[in-house]
Amino acid sequence: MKVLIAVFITLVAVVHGESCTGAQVEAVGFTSQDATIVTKIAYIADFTLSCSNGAKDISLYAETVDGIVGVARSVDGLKYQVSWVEDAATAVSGERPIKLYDDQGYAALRKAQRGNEDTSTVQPIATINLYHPGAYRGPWVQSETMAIIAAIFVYYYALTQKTRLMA
Amino acid sequence: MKVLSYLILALAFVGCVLSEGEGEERARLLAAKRVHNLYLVEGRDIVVQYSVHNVGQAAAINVQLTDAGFSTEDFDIAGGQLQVKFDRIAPNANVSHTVVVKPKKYGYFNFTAAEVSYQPSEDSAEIQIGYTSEPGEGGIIAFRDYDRKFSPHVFDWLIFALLMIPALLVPYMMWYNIKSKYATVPRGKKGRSD
Amino acid sequence: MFPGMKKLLLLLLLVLPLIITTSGGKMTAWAQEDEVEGEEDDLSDDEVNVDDGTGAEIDTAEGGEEEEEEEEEATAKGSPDADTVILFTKPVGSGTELPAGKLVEFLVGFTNNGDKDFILDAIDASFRYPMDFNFYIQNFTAIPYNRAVKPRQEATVMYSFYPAEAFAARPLGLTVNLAYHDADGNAFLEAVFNQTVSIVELDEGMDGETFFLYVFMLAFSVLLLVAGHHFLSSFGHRKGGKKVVVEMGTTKRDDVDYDWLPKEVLNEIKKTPRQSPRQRKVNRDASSK
Repeated sequence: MKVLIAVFITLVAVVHGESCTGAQVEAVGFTSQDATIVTKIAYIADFTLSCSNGAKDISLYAETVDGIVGVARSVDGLKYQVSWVEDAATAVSGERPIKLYDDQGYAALRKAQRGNEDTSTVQPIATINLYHPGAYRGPWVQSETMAIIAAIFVYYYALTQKTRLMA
Repeated sequence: MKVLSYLILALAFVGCVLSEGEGEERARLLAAKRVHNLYLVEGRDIVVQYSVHNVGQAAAINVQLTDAGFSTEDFDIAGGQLQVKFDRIAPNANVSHTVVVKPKKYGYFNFTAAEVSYQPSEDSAEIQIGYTSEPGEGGIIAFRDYDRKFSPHVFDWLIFALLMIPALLVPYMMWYNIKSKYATVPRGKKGRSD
Repeated sequence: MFPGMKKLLLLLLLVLPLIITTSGGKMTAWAQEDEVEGEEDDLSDDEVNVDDGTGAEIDTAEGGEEEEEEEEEATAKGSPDADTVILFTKPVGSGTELPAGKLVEFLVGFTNNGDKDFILDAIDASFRYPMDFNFYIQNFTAIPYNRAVKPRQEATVMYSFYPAEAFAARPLGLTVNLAYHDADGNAFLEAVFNQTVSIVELDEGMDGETFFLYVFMLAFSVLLLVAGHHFLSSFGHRKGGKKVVVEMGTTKRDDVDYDWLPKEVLNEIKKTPRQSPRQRKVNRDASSK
């Protein structure tokens, strides 16, 4: 069920001390793959963050479909989790990029947003690609329908043969 | 125009005074726990979403969300963590957190509230404890019952088809034998045009 | 729009005979007109009350209870130790505009500032008549919670309901009451939300599903027409053809138009009695036996 997901690491040169440089993200993703009983598809990415400069206990922000949200952390502060839900009917499959920002990136992003500037100039410290293969929404054709079609076909064949015989 | 701006200023001032008059600014969290399922089925996903809204004036610091409602003996955790913290939730902001669990047993289960604890402002040592909304009691269906009702029954239909085959094949073979016997008769051209 | 038109029509129907009867023979219009004006007002007032039939009915049905509740509302305000707050999460906003026929969901936060336990009993929501909040238009189910809130703690409860689509484009008074009691058994009923809201109809445009439904229905009806046409025509042809053959051959011999035949042939036919081949065969068999 758990899909190991590709992780793309973007290296950003950051000058300040407390921030994370050379972020390495190791992520495990989970998405609901059975949409028959749930109304919303859950997208969950669990990951750990290690920085080449040894920075610890960093608050992260993530850009998801809900906008920019604070990333949940386990209480010991080692594991992070980004998660959201989407309606099962409209949930999109495929790669879902999650951009991660630290405090500075978040501040820059907010500033850019406020000034109506292009937010793509702000580099995330890392990007996770959460892959959702699509959810099973039940059989495409009901088996009952198939059975009925088969029955009609057999009946039709028999009937044509019979009429030919009688003609 | 000028009058209007003065008025706005005055109003803003009054607003400031009023809010100050209410005492220190505090965060106020509302937390909801939702179960996004049509059916609760043994061994299948249950999508639980927690959303925390800050309706106060200050940011909530060190928000811890703990759900003790899903014990490991009754549930497997398929995705997500049951105990997380958010460093900060700004005023008027909201965060959401999702966990997917799979029940190990069937029967009625009471989805209880999760606990939220936070510091209501930056410089407050006090820890406020709150609880999320309760989704309430839900019946978890046994997988067998669910499968009986909702699976495509492909296997059952196959068995049915197998049972039907002799009943169809025997008359067909009989007819086919007779037909092939008389196929050379000129009249047969009408019967076998395809 | 329409109720207004209806009202007008009704008024006309009522007022016209009045004018005719009251004016009688006199043709002095002014005084009469004034009178009519007054009448109209009365009538329209009546109308409004009639229009409110559903609400009024509910009202009378639980009249006693309502009075009681009103008293309760008057006496039992929220506890000074309790602090409540409401937040509409679906649709997000202040809750003054609610979508018709769509789920409306809100959270109610409860903080216990006292030093005794509070127990949250239930939330009930109701639509009231915006001019007079004592008129109930629709009552939603009260959801029982039975949750204890310890001192210095807070709790959130969720409530959701569907505004009926019939209320679209109408202002309504929405009242949300939170019922709770403290450890000493004092009951409180606090109006968490008490405002006039407008029910708006969401203009979704054409979503794909309905579009394809229509396309499918159209295709199906065309198919049905084609099939029906085909069936009818083929059926008619076959039947007609058969009829001609069968009838000419054996049964109805009177209908046959022999005009086109030469006279001699006709005479020939009339001489020999017509028989079907089968009959002839039978005859032959009989004779041979």
